[in-house]
Amino acid sequence: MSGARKSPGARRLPRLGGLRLRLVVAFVLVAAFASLVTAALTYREARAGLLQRSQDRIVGDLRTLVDTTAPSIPFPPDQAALDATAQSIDKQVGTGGSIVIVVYRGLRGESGLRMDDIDIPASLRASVDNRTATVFQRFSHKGEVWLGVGVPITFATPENPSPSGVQVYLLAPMRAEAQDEAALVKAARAGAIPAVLFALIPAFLAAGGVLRPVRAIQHATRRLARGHLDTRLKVQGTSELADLARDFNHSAAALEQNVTQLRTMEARARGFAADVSHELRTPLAAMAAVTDLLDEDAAAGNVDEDTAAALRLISGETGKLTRLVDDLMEISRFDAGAAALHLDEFDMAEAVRRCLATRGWQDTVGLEVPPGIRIEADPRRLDVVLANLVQNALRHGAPPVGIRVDSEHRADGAWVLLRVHDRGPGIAADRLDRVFERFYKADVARTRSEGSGLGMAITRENVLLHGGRIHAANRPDGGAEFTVELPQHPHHAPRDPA
Amino acid sequence: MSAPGRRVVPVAAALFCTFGCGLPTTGPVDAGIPGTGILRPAASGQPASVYVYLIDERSLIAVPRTTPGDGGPQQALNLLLAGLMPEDRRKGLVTAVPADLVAARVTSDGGVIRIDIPTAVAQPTKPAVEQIVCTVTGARVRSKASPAATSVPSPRPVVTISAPGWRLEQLGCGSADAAP
Repeated sequence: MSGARKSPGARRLPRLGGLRLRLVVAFVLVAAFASLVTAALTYREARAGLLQRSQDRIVGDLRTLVDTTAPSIPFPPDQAALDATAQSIDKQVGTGGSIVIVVYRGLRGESGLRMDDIDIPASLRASVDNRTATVFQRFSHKGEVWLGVGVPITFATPENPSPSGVQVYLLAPMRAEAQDEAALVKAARAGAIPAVLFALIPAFLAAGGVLRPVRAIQHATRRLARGHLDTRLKVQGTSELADLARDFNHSAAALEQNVTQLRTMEARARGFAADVSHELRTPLAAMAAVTDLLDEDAAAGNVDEDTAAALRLISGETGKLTRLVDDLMEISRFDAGAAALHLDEFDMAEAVRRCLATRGWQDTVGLEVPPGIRIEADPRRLDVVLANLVQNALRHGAPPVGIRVDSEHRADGAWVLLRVHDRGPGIAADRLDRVFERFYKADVARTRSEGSGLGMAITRENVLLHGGRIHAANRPDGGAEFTVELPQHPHHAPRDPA
Repeated sequence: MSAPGRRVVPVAAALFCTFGCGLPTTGPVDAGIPGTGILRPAASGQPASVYVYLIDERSLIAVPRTTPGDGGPQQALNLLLAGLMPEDRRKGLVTAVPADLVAARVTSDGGVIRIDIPTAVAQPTKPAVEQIVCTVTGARVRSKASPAATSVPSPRPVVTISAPGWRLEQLGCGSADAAP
């Protein structure tokens, strides 16, 4: 029960693959995706607008300048005329760092100083040559984006505007636009990242909303497992989790009802056994007194042989019945939790010898009992344990039967180990755990044993009452061995009376 | 608790630029009609084209005219002095050049164009002077392509206008003149 519970520290951390982490991650991913897409679309629109405006302005300005300058260009122009035109246009363009190139066939005039080896892109040139239209192109040069605008000039004949072959090119670095674009990226990121971070708040709230009832169900289940069958959950709302809580309550109620019923039935059965044995005691005592008298008569030869045999049979069976009733009453006391320990400290070796001597077994049982092992136990109950084990060994095993007593120091204190072994056929492996059950017959062939069938059960109850353990095993060299482990100083009230 | 957030933020930032940050380059893109205004030199026997400069609200505007002659500075000036054509008026163009300059003579000497006005006239206004200077220099520059004038070194000739009583020197057309 307590082993199944996780340590509280492990529960507080967000488990990898846990519901909370998954919900939060899903929330954040959705938020990130949404804000990313929004930011990206906004950014693209803003950038397109920025470039459009800037290009339109540059292209428009250049066309106006070309139109006003064209009338003063002689035709065909010479190098000087091209240079003069380029300088005149460049002076009026007013875009920082730009270059104006005027070409006519093989000639080209340029404005100002060229700091760079930048040239008109071949594709722009080809496009202006072929289409006779104003064309612009953004191109990359040494990591910077430049705008190239080509304006071909046609002859001023309104009816037939054929190209003159003179073309004006403007190459302008888009530095200001690049700065504006960088500002846009920054703004988009600055918008998207807080949006994602803000998504964490509803993510945790939603995760908490889902996880609170889950955790409540978890706690209730654990409480139920610990035996608190009256555990119920508060059903809130109409969600699937509320359904689960309702189902849990139904299950818990059914379980509680069944368990209560079973306990009542068990208590009634035990009470019945106790009542029966108690009721049998008085008539049995009377019967025993009568059979004792009849036994004496039979022994004295006052009755004929057949009657004497019948009387001995009655006497023997009456004695067995008396023992059975005594054992039943004893086990009823254990069941009722009325068995009390009367602790006393004594020497193990002495206790064993006295037990064997009382029953006349001192010569049939081999002893390996070192002197000086002392134990604090109930002497009467220890005597019952020892007697039952030896009797069991004598009855079901084969001689030689031996007793060995050891003491051991373990982490949880000092222990006394009592081993009773025989040389019999041993116990089938699948029955080792069952030999301590009530009325259990290890030897299935023998349907009627001399014992009450409760001896081993009483033995076990006595050992448990001391806070000890008992188990049965087969020795590797044949024969069964019962081991009783008793604490040298039993804690008081070691057994839960429930 | 912001562990997932911390993980997502750089991912989002990185993803953001997979769409393409920075300025994208393009191929050639059409941006409208070509410029215009160059006058085709006349073939022999055909009327030549020249520009005269008129005033459109405040600025000078070149208006093409045809002349049966060679299209030199003298003819350009004559066309300017002839005044507005009906279509010029329709466009709302005006001229500031007074009509009493008709007797003006134009001669070229290297990079200098001299306009001599034999009669006594009042000094023209500044817009009128600009109109005259631009018209004659434009015609001069264009006609210099003729074989006789290939040796002219300066593409921007200067103009001197003289009349009895006043004289204007070192005049040029366009922004070069506007500076001083």
